[in-house]
Amino acid sequence: MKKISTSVKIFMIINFFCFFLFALCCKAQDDSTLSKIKSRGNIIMGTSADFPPFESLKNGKIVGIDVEIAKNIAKKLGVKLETDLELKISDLSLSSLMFELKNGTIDFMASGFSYTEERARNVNFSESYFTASQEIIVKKNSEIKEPNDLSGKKIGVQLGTTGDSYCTNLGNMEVVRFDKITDSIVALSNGNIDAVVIDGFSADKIVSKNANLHKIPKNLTEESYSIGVKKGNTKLLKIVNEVLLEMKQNGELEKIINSYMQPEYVEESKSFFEEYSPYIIEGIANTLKITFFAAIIGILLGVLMASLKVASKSNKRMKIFDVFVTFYTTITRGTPALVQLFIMYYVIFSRISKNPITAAIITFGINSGAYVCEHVRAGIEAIERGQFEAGRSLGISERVLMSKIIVPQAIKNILPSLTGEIISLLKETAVVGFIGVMDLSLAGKKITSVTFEPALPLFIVAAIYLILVAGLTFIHKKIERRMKKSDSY
Amino acid sequence: MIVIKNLSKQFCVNGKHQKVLKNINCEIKKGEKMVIIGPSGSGKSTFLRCLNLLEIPSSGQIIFEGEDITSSKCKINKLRQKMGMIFQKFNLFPNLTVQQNITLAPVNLKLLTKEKAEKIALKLLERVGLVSKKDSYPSSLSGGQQQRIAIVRALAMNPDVMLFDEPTSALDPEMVKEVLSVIENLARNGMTMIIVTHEIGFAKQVGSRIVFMHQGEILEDETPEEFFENPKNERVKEFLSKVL
Repeated sequence: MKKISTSVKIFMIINFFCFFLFALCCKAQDDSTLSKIKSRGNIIMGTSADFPPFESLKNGKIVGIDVEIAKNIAKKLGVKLETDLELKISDLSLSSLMFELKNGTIDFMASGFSYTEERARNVNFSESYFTASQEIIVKKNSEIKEPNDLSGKKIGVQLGTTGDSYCTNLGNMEVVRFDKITDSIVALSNGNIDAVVIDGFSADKIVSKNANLHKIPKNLTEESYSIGVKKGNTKLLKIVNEVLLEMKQNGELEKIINSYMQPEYVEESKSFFEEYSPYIIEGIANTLKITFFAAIIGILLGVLMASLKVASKSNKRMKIFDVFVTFYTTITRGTPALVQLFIMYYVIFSRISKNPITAAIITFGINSGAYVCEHVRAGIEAIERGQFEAGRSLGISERVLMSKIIVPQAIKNILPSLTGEIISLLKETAVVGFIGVMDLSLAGKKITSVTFEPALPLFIVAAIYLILVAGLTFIHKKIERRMKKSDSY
Repeated sequence: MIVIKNLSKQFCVNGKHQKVLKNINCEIKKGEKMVIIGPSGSGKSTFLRCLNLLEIPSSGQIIFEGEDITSSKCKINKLRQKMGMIFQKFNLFPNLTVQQNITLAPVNLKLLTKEKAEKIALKLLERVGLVSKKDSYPSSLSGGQQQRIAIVRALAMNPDVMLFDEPTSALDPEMVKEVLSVIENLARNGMTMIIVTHEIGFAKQVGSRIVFMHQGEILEDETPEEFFENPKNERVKEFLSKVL
């Protein structure tokens, strides 16, 4: 950045725009083809790891029946492609899985995924490998003996599950939705509701623990789980089906399912910190990584923009930069960071890169740059006119004047507001969870979703943010002390 | 060396045009020490600042070493490198040490290597008796010391002409002498200088030519002897009667 002339700068800005246009125009590449998988040396499975025993988090790793099947797919593909394929797993929400599959970020999805017509429009389904049932739990003395008896009764379901949508669609009963399945069981025991509709293996678990409840023998409905691949990727689909067939024929599938359905597996638990510290650590690392690089981009961009804006005031030829910088700060400061993040990741990045962390860094870098620019501009305008005149009277270029004299003084003026900007940047990055980056906030939310106990993980996450901010404040104080050096001798 | 033709400058204050310089014509030859005096608001500083384009003239020409600096083709930074400027308020860079203040321009303009520039800085600092302050920051120096450093900073560019804009006005009385003696020294060594000042005694001593400005015009342009012994203009007589 040091030695570029005005024309090169203009060129760079034009390039920047062309790059975006190009990114928008060119077609997304299909990274899921077998040859692509081979050249990458890994195959990426997408899953939403909150559905034991198919997929769940254990000691920082995703385990479960779907993972075992995926391992077999990777092995089989490895033989076919003559490379040792590494199995990578991305943990995403169910709704973004479909998008990522379409986008080519993941090669296939295995997430207790059942067939619907709507889904089939976007995804090719493999043969089914497991049939799950929705079953009905009632009190032992209940008058409900079979599914038809549910009509007109109060039915408890877990919000957003297959049971929820099934009962809602039936329409002849009052559906009471609970966030947690345990709450619905309490409500059932207390007599607030008449029955709970839940998937078969959870039903078995609950009934075995509650002596006054039982499962009615007839299933309400059944659904089959399949593996999804990108629509049209028939080669991969064929291999997945071959693997499933082999596993069914040699009994491996049954063995895996049985071993994961074992109650002791489900019951096994470790201390909170042993089990969940990996998320917290990953969360801290990602939050810091995004904040650090975004701050660097933001400061460089902000200082550059502010210098251009100030220089354009005294030089008519640079008027265009004034317009450009004003445009940039208005757009960036006038729209929510989250919307910018979505646009960056889902629109711009979907064609060029699939790394959400990079998208987050660039978004927050550009976002922060606008704020830094305004801080720096105010800091520059607070500097005496004599400093500019002295520099100009020596015949040095505007660039040297800015970078060696004005900006260093301005930075000193604005250090407090700049630290404030970085602190708010650190906290603002909490929204990156929306594009699937496991940052500190998402780590807290994830743990909460597994433990059903919100207080501890959320307080821990809040405390860590506080510590990070305190660390930034400490660094700020140190820098300020060092900068004071020139105030007295 | 510098030829000024029909130089005019007007400012626009609150929508009202104010003529600060009216058709100034004069010529400064190499080695001359031109001292500009006159009441405040007479346009002395504006005139000086027009010479290195810190103020852009509204009309007229300034020809410096054969080149019209008011034309748009003029390389303004090249021109300024040849003209050292000393300000009333010193304007040292507070974020740099004394030595860095002096070497910044020659090194960044690639006129000198860093080592060479530092050597020259030390030599010049020795001339003004401030070698010991080379690593100090400006805020720790007195006004007189700061102004001497500012002169050294301008000298390090090896200018053809030096412009002084009231170099002692912001100084405590006991510091005026140390700065003036540095300027006198320069004058003795043959530097071309244009000095705006209120120090009449100093003007008499250093100037080879005294210019009196009033309301944007040059009323008197004489040798010091002629100017002080035998003023012609009524306004000059009145001014001198007040200050002498």
